[in-house]
Amino acid sequence: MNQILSLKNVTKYYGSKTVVTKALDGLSFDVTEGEFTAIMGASGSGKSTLLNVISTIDRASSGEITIRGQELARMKENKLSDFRRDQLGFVFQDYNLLDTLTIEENIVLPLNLRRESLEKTQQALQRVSAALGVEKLLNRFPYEISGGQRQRAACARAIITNPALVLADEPTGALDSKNSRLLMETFQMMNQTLHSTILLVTHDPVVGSYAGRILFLKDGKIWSELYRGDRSRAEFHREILSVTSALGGECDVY
Amino acid sequence: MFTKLAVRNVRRQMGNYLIYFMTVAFTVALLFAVNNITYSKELQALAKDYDSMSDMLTVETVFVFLIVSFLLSYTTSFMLKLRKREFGTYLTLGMNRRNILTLFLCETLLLCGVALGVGILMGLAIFQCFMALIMKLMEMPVVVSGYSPKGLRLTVILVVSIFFVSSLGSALYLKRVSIYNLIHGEKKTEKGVRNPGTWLLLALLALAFLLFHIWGIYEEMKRLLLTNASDTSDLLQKICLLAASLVVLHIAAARGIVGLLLKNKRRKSRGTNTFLWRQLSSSLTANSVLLGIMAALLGFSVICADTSFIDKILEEEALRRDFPYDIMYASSLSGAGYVQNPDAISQEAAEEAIETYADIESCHRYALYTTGESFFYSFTRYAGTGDNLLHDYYMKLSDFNEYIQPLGYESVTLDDEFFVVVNDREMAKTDWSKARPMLNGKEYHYTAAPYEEYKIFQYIFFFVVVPDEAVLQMHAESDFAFYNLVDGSYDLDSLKKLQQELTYRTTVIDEFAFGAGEEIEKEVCDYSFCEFSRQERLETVAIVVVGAMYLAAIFLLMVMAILALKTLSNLPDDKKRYRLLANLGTGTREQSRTLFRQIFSFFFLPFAVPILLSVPTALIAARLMQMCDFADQVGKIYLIAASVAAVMTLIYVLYFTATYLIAKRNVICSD
Repeated sequence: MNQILSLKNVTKYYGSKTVVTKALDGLSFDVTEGEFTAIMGASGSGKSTLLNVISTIDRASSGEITIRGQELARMKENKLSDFRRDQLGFVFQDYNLLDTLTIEENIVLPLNLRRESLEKTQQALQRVSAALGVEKLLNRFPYEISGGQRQRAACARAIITNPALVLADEPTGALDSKNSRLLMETFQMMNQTLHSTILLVTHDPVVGSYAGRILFLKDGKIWSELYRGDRSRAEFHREILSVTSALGGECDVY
Repeated sequence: MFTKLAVRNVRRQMGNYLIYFMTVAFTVALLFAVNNITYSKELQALAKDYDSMSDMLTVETVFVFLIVSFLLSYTTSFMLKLRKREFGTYLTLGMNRRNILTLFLCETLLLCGVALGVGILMGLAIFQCFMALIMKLMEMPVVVSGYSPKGLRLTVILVVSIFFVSSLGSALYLKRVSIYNLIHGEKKTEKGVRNPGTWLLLALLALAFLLFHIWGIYEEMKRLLLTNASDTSDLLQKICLLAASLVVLHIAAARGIVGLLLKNKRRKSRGTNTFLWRQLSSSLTANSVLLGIMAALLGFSVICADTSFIDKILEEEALRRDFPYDIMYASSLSGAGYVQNPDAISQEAAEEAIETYADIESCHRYALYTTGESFFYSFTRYAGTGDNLLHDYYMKLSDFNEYIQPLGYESVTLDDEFFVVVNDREMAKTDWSKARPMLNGKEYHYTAAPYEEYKIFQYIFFFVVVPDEAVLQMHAESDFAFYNLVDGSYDLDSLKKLQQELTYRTTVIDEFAFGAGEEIEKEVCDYSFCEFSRQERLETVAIVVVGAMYLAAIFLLMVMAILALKTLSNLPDDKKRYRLLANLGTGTREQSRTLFRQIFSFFFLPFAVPILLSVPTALIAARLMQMCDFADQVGKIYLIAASVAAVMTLIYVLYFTATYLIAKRNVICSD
C-alpha cells in the first residue's frame, strides 16, 4: 500500500517566550492509502492541533510532515493553498458550508477553485451526490436542510476532488446519535466503496469504533494505538472503552 | 448602570464603525456651516439680496433634514439588527423591555452627542471655508466670519431631531420583537432572486425610461428657454420621473444582473465566481431599495454640482452680453401719450452726478421712434390681439452704428432697406420679408440683420433699423444713453448713493397690481448699473454653487457611509466565509481579488449610472448654451462636467479604498 501521510518527530509550541505550551511532542506515525484512522484523546491532548498542522492550516514548530511524498514545511504560501485544494478534503464539526451558496454550489466549489471544466464538474457532482444521497438537496440552501444532511453535503464536498486525504474534525459533534450513526456509516462507505483515506478526530468511542485504526493522544504524544482487524464494531468499541478508561476516562462514553 | 453599559457599547461601536461616525460628524459639520451661513451677519451686511440667499439655504436644510433622517433611520435599524442577539441576551438575563429601550436611547443620545461635538468642531473650519468661497465668488475680500448662536441652536435642534426620528423605528421594533426573533432571527439567509430575467427586463425598461426622461428634460428646458415661460411644473415632474427611473433601474439591476449571472453555469463554475456572485446576490437583493435611493441621491448630487458651476458660466456670459456698459439710461414715460416724464432727472444733471462718482470715459446715445402703429406687429404672433401697448419701434441707422461700433461690430449701410433687431426668440421666427413699410413717403424693403445677435438694453420684443431720413416725421418716444466709466474699480456704497441721487418720485399708472389702471406714486430710477446686476448675479451664483456643493457633499457622504457601514458590518460573516475558502485551498491573492470584486461591485453599482449622468447633463447644458449664443463656452461645460465627475469619483475611490483595506485586513486569511 502507498504511504499517504507521514509524520516524523512533529512538535508544536504555542505561546511567547515566557509561557510556552507544547501541544505536540515529537509525534511520528504514518497513514497508508485507503486507511480509516481515528485520533482520540481528552480535551487538550493535541488532537485538533495535530489536524491543523496536517491540514496546513497551522505550521509545525519542528519535525517533518509529508503527504504523498510532498513535505509541507518546504512549501510556500501559494503552493500550500494549491496543495490543500488538490490533496485534502475537509469535514468540520460545524459543517462549514457557505450559507449563501446552494448545496450544489457548496459541493462543487473545490472543483470551481481548480477551474475544472463544467462537464467534469457535473460528472463528479453526480457521482458524489448519488453516493452520499444528497441529490435531492442540491438546489436547497444549507439553512433549509437538517444537520445530518448538511454534514453529508460537507462529506460530498470533501471527496469531490478525490483528495489524497480526508480530514474530519469532530464531524458528529453537532449531530444527535441517530444522525451521528448515519454519518459514520457514510464515512465507512466513503472508505470502503470510494476508497477514501480518512483521518478523523473524535473524543467519542462510538464514532472511533467505525475506524480501522485508532491513535490515542495524551499530552501531545501517542499514548496507545489500536487496530480493529477482523473484530466486530461492538468488540472494537469495548476495547476502545477499556483504553480510554486506562487513559484516564476523560473521553466521553455513550 | 445603563449609562455605563451604553458608554461601553458606544466606545465599542466607535471602533468598529469609525468611517460611519466620521461621516455622520461631517454631515453635522456641513449642517452647522450652512446654518451659520444662513444667519451670517457678514452676508447680511454685504449681500444685496440676503433674504433670498437665506431662504434658499433654509429650504435646502429642510430637504437635507428629511433625507438624512430617512437614511440614518435605515442605518440605525440596520445597526440594531446587527445587535439583535446582544439585546436578546440582555432580555434573557432579566432586563425588561423598558431597560433595553433606555439602554438603546442612552446609546443613541451618546452617539448623537459625540457626532454633534465632533461635527461642530469640524464645522467651525468648514464654515470659514464656505464663507471664503462665497466671498470669493461674490468677488469680495475674504475675512474671518463670526459664528451665529442661532446657527448653533438650529444645528443642535436639527441633529437631535434627526437622531430622534432615526431611532424611533428601532425603538418601536425593540418594543415589539420577540426574544426568539432577537436571538435566532439573524440565522436566516437571503434566498436567491426568482425570475432574474424579469428583473433584468425591468432594469432595461427603467433605463429606457431614464433616457426618455433625460430627453424630456432637455425638451422642457428648451421650451422654457425659447418661450420665456416661467411655469416649471412640467420640468419638476420630469425630474421626479427621472429620479424614479433611477431608483427602479437600480432595484431591478441589483436583483437581476447577479441572478442572471448565477444562471450561467459555465461562467459561475470558474474560480470563486459562484462564491462572489452569491455574496453579491444576498447583499444586493437585501439592499436593492436602498441602493436605488442612494443612486437617485448620487444622481441628484452630480446634476446639482454640474448645473451650479454651469450656472456660474451662464450668469457671467449673460452679464457680459446684457450689460456691455457700466451705466445705462432709458428715459421713462409718463401716463398715456408716450411723453417724457416731467418728474425725471435731466440727463445733464444725472451726468453731473455720475461725474462725482467716476469720470465718464465714453457716452453713446440713441432714441427709439414710433408712429404709434403696429404695422410690424401684424406679422407676428401678436397680430390681432388688440394690445395697444404693442406698437412698432424704429431706430436711426446712425444711432445703431454708433451703438454697435464700440461693441466690436462693423458699421452697417442701408439702401432703402430696413432690418429688424429681435430681443425675443419666439419673435425671431417671424417672417418680415414681405413687409413694405411706407415711412416718410418712401417704401422700404426688408433685408436680413447683418449680425445675428446684438442685444440691446431694451424691454421690447424688437425694433426696426431704418435709414435716418425714414424717422424724420416720427415721434421720439424714448431716449437711451450708455456710459463707460474711467475707473474700473467699483465702490458699492458710493454707487448706492449715486443710485439714490438718480432716483425720483413720480406718479405712474399701475399696470400689474391689484387695482390696475389706477395712478400710484413710486420711486423710479432710469439708470441701470452694471455693477449692481453683476453683484446680484454673483450672489446668486455664490449661493447656488455653495448650496449645490452642500447637497452634493452630504448625499455623497451619506451614501458612502452607508455602503462602508454595510460592508464593514458584514466582516464577521465574511471572515468565516473567506476562512472556509482558504481551507478549501484558495490562496491569499485569489481571496483578495474576490474581496476586491465583491466590495467594488457593491460600492459602484449605485455610483456608475449617476456619475454617467454627467454626460447627458453636459450635453444638454452645452446645447442650451449654444441656443443662448454662448457656443464658445461649450468647452468649459465639458470641462466642468468632467471635473465634477473626477472629483466625486476620487472621493468615492478614497472611501472605497479605505473600506477595502479595512475589510482585507480583517477578512483575508493567510497560512
